[in-house]
Amino acid sequence: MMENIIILICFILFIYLLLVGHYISSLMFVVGIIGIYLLGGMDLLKGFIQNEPFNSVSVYSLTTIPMYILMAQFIIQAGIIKDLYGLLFRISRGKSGPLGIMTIFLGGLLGGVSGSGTATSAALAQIAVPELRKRGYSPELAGTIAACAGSLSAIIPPSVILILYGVVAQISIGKLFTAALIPGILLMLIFSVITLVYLRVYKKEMKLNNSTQEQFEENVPVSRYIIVTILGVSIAVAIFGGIYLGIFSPTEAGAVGASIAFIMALLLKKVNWSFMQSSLVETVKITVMAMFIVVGASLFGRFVSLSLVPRKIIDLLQPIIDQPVLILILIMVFYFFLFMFMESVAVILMTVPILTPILDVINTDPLWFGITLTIVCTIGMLTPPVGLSVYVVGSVSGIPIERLFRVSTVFAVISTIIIVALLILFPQIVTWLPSQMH
Amino acid sequence: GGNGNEPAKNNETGSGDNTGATSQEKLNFRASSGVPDKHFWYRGMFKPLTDSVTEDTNGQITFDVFNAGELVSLGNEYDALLSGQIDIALTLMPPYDPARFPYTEAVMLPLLSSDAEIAQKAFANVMISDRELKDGKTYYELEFGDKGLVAFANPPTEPYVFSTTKTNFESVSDFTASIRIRTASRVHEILSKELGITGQSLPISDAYDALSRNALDGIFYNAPDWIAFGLDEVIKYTITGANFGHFVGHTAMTEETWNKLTPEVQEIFKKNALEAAIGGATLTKSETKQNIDSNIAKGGKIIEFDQLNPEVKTLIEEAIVNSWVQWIDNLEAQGHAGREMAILWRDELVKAGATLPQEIMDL
Amino acid sequence: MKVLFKTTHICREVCKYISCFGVLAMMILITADVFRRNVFETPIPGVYEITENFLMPLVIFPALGYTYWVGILPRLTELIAKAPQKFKVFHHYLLLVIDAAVFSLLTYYGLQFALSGFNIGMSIPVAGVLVPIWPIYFLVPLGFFFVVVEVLLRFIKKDEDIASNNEIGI
Ligand code: NA
Ligand code: NA
Repeated sequence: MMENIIILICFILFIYLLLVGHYISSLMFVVGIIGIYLLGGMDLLKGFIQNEPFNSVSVYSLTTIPMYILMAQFIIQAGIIKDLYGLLFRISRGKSGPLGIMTIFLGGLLGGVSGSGTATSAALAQIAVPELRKRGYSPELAGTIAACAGSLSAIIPPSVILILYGVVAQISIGKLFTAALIPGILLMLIFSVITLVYLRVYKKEMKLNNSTQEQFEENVPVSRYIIVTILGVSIAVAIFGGIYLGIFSPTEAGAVGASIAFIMALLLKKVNWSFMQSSLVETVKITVMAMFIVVGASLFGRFVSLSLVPRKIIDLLQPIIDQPVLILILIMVFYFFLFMFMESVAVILMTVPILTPILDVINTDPLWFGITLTIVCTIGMLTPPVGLSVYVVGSVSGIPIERLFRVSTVFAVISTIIIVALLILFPQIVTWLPSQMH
Repeated sequence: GGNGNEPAKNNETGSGDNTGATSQEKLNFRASSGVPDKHFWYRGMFKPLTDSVTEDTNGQITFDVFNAGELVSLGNEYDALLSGQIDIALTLMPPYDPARFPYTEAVMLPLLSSDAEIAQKAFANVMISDRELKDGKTYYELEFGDKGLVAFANPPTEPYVFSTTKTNFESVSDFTASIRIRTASRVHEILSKELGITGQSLPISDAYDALSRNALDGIFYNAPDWIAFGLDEVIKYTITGANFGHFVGHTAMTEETWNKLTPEVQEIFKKNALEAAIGGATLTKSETKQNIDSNIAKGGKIIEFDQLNPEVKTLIEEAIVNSWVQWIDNLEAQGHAGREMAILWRDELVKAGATLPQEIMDL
Repeated sequence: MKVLFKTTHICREVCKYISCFGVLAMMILITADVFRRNVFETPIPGVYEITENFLMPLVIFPALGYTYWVGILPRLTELIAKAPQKFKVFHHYLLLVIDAAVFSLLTYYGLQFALSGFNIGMSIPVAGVLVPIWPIYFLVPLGFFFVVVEVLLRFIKKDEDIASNNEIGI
């Protein structure tokens, strides 16, 4: 009973601090600290405050954050993406739709070399948002597209979430990666369709922007397009090739990609003191911002674990144990809300061990479940109040977060309903590809 | 290999009298495990232990068990115990922390043959051994007593075996620095150097990816954990019959926590911990075959140590012996009783039925 | 006052470049390892442990204060922007007080963490060799201390900044 009151107090405190504009990172620290204190006093709290910050930072897989951002910075500062975008725009002959879709596919492509949505969202916010806005997209739509595209790296392999799920649920990570490919592409298509519908609905607004767009046209010689295309393609080929030939691991790919991008910038004669300074300082800013949240979220996550909230919610499922589909839908709705509030890694670590026995009881394929869960988690990065992709895009691009959430939530709700329904009706979307192996 | 709950049932019949629990105050312990609930440590030891203690104390002692590093990530349990984050560490991992727990690493030293049951028996005797290693103190006193800890050995793993994705160990020239093997401890780093290959540390969850993408050429690991990490799919050649050490962790708490238990409940805990460790060792041993079969079905080849090219056999045997010597030297250089510890572990292994190279017997 | 601003400015710059150095070192180390093991077939031993335990903290902790100062940390601003002036000012100071308390707590216990590491000479195995890690532990209280400094500096900022709800820094 006491625990439930503490949970309620912390929940209210969380919402209150969020609404009065406290930093997300700070409020995670505050609620985590107060929650743990209320549960176990200073004796319990001091251990978590002492050990958690260092332990949550010294994690090898998190090196993807600075390294992928550095790669993106080098590419951006060298002007490669800007010119590629110009080229895409020329190819799409002023039509805005294809550019948004290309951004989403670029996100999928970047997701193929990145394990975390935070890094790709930050990269896309820098690369794509300004270009989309120049081409007539409203800020919130441009930002949402970047956030959606960035979040894709949570489902497109390699993915930290899939690896964690595989480890916790003890199923083959290779199978999970294979199984995630088709649903990942499906999600990409769904995002694209929603973008097209959105553009059609808000056509008037787009036209208004289009008239001001001409002044952004730049006179870039065709030879320049050819060079950047070759360079851009070589980076992509080097990274994909390197990973799939086993020259380096997906985690290392960020560092290698950054080095390759640096060499490209050297070839383009862009490297000087200010190039280095702005690339590195930007990388530090974005990395530390993301890690500020990771550390806060980890302390907050420890509170949630200690409060036994997830277990209590799952206990409530026991009476309807003989209706698997109903349970699955309830679980997914439950996850949708959990991912709204919490950092995905914490959610997976906390709930999957408790859910796996239930999955056993209702005879659900843990492979299918893992993919569906990861999809909901991917989309959870777009929903308020805790939507990591949106936060990152917001702070990198300067677009107000609440305006972004208005659009991103629409994307999230529609795509969740469509894809979860498809996955429940046609589980083969997940299971077919892995069954073709061996 | 079923979902072994047998140890818990054994306890029911084993301890009929619950009289001791009556004077025990009601306590709820926060217990943390760094491994998932499907791991044999949970199925074989943590669940049977916590369930049976609760049952045998008529519910006076209860546990909130946090799995998979949900509360404290694997390897950070000791600090979490000290700072009061948790009451009980189910996966205290001395081999990950050789600076503070220098002696337990000995269990990872390679030998010729043994299994989880033999290692369990041997290690249980090391835990209670009164042989003085240094300054008149036993292994238990040096490793745990001096730190104010009360510890119980978890079941050791089945032997670590040597597996690769490409190299089939046909000749000594297959062992080059370009072969990168995932290692789990300092002992395996030493062993790798002795074999002429390169050790690389990596969390086990990254091993599948690294092996399948050729970023890693092999792994020292225990077969019953293969399927869980997908390794049965990627491993192509495995040497069995030479044993590259066991991994062991502990269930531990501070003396302060321990002293909250009445002597009767302490006895229940002790007895049930030992029974669970025995049951857990049997459980993991019983799951070896299905993992090896699954690997063979997916194209894996198992090579018996005795069938190896004599040159390769010699190389491995020498590496095994040199690893002991090297490990002892390292510990002695740091002022620890490496030699005494190695001899204690060797003697208990032999008593429990393991075999070691003659050079180690002559130490 | 001028001396105070000057000092904090210098600290900020130094810390920022320490983190930048960490990022660059990480890129070079990982790339060199990949290069060496593919070309010369000999990886650099201990890259994994060095990156995880030494470089990650080196990148993150020194720049905590700088990042707080820059104003890049995400938050919801819409509701508070529409609120009456009094409400705004009250919450501006309330949130600063909360942050001052939280980050002081993190600094204090971070220092305890570092000191206990120092007292036992905490070391970790890197490629089989024990390497002292306790000096890195001191980055934790240092990083949080710089956040406390930034929070305190905002208390003495002029009122018009609160009114326009501008972030300090860039
Ligand atoms: Na990905
Ligand atoms: Na969310």
